[in-house]
Amino acid sequence: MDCQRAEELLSDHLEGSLHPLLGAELEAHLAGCGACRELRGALAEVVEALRSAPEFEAPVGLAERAARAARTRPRPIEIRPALVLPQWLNAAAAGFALIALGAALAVIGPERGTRAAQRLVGQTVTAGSSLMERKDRLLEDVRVLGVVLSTAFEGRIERVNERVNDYKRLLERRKPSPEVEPKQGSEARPPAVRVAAGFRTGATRAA
Amino acid sequence: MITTDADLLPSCRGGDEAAWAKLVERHTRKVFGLAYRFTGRVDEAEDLTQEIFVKVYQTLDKYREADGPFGAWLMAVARNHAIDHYRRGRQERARRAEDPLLLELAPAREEHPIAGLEREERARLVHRGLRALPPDLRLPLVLCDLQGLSYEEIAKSLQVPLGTVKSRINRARLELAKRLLARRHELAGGA
Repeated sequence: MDCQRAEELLSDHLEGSLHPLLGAELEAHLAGCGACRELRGALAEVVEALRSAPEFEAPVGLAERAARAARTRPRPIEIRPALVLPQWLNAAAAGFALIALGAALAVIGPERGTRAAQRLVGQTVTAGSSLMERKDRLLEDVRVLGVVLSTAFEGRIERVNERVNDYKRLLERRKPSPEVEPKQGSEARPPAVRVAAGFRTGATRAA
Repeated sequence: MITTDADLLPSCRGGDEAAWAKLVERHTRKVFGLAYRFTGRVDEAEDLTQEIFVKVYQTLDKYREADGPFGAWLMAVARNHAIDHYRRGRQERARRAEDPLLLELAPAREEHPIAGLEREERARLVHRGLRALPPDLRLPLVLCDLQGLSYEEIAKSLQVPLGTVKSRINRARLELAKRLLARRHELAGGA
């Protein structure tokens, strides 16, 4: 054992928590190393000095200042943990909020592009209903709808259709794939689209 | 008639200013001692002491006699607050500017004058050495050898692994022991 390793073990040795084999090794090292023996003695003195350390005198007037400081701070009012609402309720609230927003748009919607605005309102309400059912996609839906609404408010009403179609495609992609393969010969029904028909672009209108 | 902490507590909770002042007076020395050991600075230890009593006052209602003596509960609150203070890193900033004010230890108790002088000299050296240690080494040592916490309790309080606590305490003690030896050799060389 070298001196560095002996130093690492001195505290454990002092406290009697060293494994007997290591303890014997350390004792053997200490028997032949005066420097480490001296260090062990000093270490024991340090521990003794710390454990019997007298207390410091507190500065004059500290007790009065501390007592006053505590009394001038109001005791905190105990706050009960916030009511945790179930996730479905949060989603429902968000859905209702969107429906309300749709209704508000119907009243104060942009004057220009009235038809498109009406569709936007309908779409928002439908999306709100959809959100209530699709609570786990809440944040993403809100983000997409935010884009739609901000586009409308920016006056670019002609681009709202594109945004809504983006949103429809997003919902289409989310449709869960059927767990059971449909039987051969049976007609696979197309997945139902929750969102009502969106804005028709010029091209679809022409078709 | 001796008034105990338990006698004062109901009045303190009821907002009795005099009772609270008396309770603080009783425990200031211990709390300040802990704060000074933690911070190594008188000004910061005073601030920390005041913060601790604010905390104690605000949580008085949480103390139950079943938790043990009030003094022990108060010191646990003080320790936890001091550890939070350390975690917030204020101590590190404070160390950038050395505190010129070094507190002297309380006078020796009744003992032989020579032994008293030796004890005082050793205690002074250890105290100065402790103050000079980096907080990472000083705090585990204070909690272990001055506050009497177990290694496991220290590891939990400081949120470091048990092995790290043991190693830091050993390194801190070694540092102080080497300082003590160096000082002795210095004195022996000068004699």
